Amino acid sequence: MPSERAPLAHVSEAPTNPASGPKPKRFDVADLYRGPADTGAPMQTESGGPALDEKLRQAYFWIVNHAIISPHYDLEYNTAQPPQVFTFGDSRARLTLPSGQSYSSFVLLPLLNFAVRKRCLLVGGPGRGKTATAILMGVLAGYSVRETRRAMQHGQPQMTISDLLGNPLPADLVNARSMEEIKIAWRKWLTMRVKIIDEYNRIPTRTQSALLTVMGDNYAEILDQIYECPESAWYLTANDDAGGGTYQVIEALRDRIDIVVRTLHFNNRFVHELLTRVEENLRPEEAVPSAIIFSEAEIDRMGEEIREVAFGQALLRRLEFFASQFEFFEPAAEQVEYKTKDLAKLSGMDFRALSALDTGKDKLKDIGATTKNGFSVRALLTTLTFAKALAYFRGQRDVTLDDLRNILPFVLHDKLVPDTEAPFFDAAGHQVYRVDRVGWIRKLFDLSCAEYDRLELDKSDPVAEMEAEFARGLQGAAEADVRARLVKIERLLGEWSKGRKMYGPMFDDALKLKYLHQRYTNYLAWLSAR
Amino acid sequence: MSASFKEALLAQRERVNAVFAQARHFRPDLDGNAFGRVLLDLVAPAADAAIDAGGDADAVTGALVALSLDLLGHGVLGPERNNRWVSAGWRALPAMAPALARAPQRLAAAMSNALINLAQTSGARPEQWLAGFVELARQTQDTDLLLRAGQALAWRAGMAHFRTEALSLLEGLPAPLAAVALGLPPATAPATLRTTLEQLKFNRWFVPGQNGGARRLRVVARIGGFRGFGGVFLTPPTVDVVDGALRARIGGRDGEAWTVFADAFGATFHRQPSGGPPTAASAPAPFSLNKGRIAVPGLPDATFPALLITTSAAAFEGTLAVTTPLSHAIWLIGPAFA
Repeated sequence: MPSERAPLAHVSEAPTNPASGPKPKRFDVADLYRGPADTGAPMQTESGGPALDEKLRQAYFWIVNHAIISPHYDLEYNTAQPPQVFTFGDSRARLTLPSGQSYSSFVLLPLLNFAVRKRCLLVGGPGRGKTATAILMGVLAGYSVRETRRAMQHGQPQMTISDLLGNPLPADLVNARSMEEIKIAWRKWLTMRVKIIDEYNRIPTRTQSALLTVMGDNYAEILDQIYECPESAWYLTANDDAGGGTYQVIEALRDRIDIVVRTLHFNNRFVHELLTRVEENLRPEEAVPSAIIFSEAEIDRMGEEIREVAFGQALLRRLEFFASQFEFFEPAAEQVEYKTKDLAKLSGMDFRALSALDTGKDKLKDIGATTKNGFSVRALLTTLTFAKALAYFRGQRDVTLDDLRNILPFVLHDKLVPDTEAPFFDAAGHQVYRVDRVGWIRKLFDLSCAEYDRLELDKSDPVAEMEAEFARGLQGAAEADVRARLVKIERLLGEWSKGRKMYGPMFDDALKLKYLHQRYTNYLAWLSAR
Repeated sequence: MSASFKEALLAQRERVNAVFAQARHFRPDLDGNAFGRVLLDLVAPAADAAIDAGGDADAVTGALVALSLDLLGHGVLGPERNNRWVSAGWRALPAMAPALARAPQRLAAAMSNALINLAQTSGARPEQWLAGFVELARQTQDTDLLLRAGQALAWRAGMAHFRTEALSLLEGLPAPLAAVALGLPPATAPATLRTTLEQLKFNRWFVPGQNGGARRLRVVARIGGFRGFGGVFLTPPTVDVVDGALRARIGGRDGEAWTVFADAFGATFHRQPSGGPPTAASAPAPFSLNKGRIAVPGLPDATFPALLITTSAAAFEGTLAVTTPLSHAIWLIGPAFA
């Protein structure tokens, strides 16, 4: 049908990111049928499969050029040439002109969520394109606009579990002799590969719990009957960043959200685009080209390809260093292992009162002192997945530091809770971070990287060396050698204990050394018992 | 215009209008009247023929209308457009009705793209390809087979760089399709076809059906030419061989360079990033060239007065490429039948 191919809604010609993979020109007889006309056949790579990263980029450029008016390039990349920076006003607001291909987070991040099939929350005021973006994702998955709209769940205060999941068949309710005999008429949206929950913070708490099961565990349950949902990309929208719609969003549900995307403002220099849409009755979502629609198999394969993107050891170490800053909380316990913010939170004690006990450190420099919690495993997993997805989208085979820096604020947006009373936020130029969470997280990462560089951990990291030594295996390791390694661990811990304050990274390192010490001790015990 | 096409068009009227509005938003020069003429002159006959051949009226109409709008927007279809071959292809679509009925979008789009590519390739012959493609469509309704045969046909229509893959495709095609793709009658005996394919592989200057006379060294092609007259080069080129492929260059180290593919069906030039350093001059073995006299083992020597003075010579796959100081052409000498 014409609407499915939107003939003149031009799809950007490949390569959309020429720098991403310069390859020598090879002659392929399949080139004969490549051209402006859309054959409906997938673009082939040299290995015979569709070039899905290119297709993903084409989808992105189609959306930003034709569908969502989002002339923002807030995910910035630079080439070897430095960006040009201009500052404005008393606040010295910086406008950067990046030298590399940069992207709009509001369009790109939902698209990456589509590629990795996670859970994305679109937050922003009414009429900013949250729902339109989510609907486009449904269309990209091959559903019609009508199907996508009908399957969208609208949060409202009277929404029941039956409204959300389905109903038992009335006849079965009367005649059934056991629960197994009750058939459930499941709601169609549960079968969709793109699930949209509009204004999720208007759903009553009890129904939120049912939603949590579907979101978290991918199945729905009514009267002991189970419906297993297909793997899906989720899009939730909320008008209120704080989740304070009609109902408070339960924490477990908020925690299940992998990435948070904030709508950007409408640039009023683009009102003429709106005028044209009104006058010409343009409906971009009705005209998504088939060239950018993904089949289920393609989404599966894209997921596999994203997982194959390499996350280098050096970059991983930087992420470890950054993540290790936040969980350590000295006043929480006596034993080192328990000195965590999580434990402090579980105690129910006032965080500020406990925090006041944490003395003797430079709280301006300790970025761990700016949060009320640490990284969860889920946050780390999501970071790794989305960083790979971003690198994949850019046509890279390895995640870069810029990919990680760009993705972290959106993954941690609702996961890292700022302690806005921390001295960090009173420092000159830092007050804005009480409001700007994306900027705050990016700043934390920059500070962490600066500290990492200052400590020269790329060149010398004794814990990493010991870890590598251990990773080579204990099979056949001589007793003397193992004892030497134990001494090395003890010596390092001894050195650290001589007066240096304990910060987050050292907390993780010390516990890692304890772990290694235990493994070696156990091995020695085994050796002597042989 | 048949009633079925008219009904299908009316049923999709709102969507077609919306899509046209969307299209005109991005291409303000899109002319509604021109689209109307394309619908009447090109789309309707093709859609009618495909519907008569058993195609689903809605699917055929939707696909062809959308595709025609797309091509019109790209400036390659319709009146006053710059690619007459795409319009010619659409006029030929009714002759491919059975195949079109089965895969309207894929077939019409692939054919249009192929004609655009052929028209853009210097030396390729879109008219020959289109005539052959219509003939192929008479032999099969299977879109996959038809398109594969069309790729092999493109080689014969002058896309010399497809030679290796086309030969491989021809081996996997049913005999009648392979025969038509090679310009032979569909009823060509399989044994004759096999022999022809063997000869094509062995000798790039072999022309199917033209193998009479003695095999000797001849000027098999003069390719390139002066850019001012529609050729490739601004100045007389030189040639060398890089990684087994013939390279033509002008202008020294920072000049221009092309990879050249040539055989009995045509020659194509593919621009390389830069000239780069010239390869060391070497004897163009197994050929020897001396004052216009060329020798190669197994064939009688031949003399070419035009090659008395040369600037470069290179041998590739049984062919000698020679350039002269006063010509913008590359002379190709190879074993060929009279």
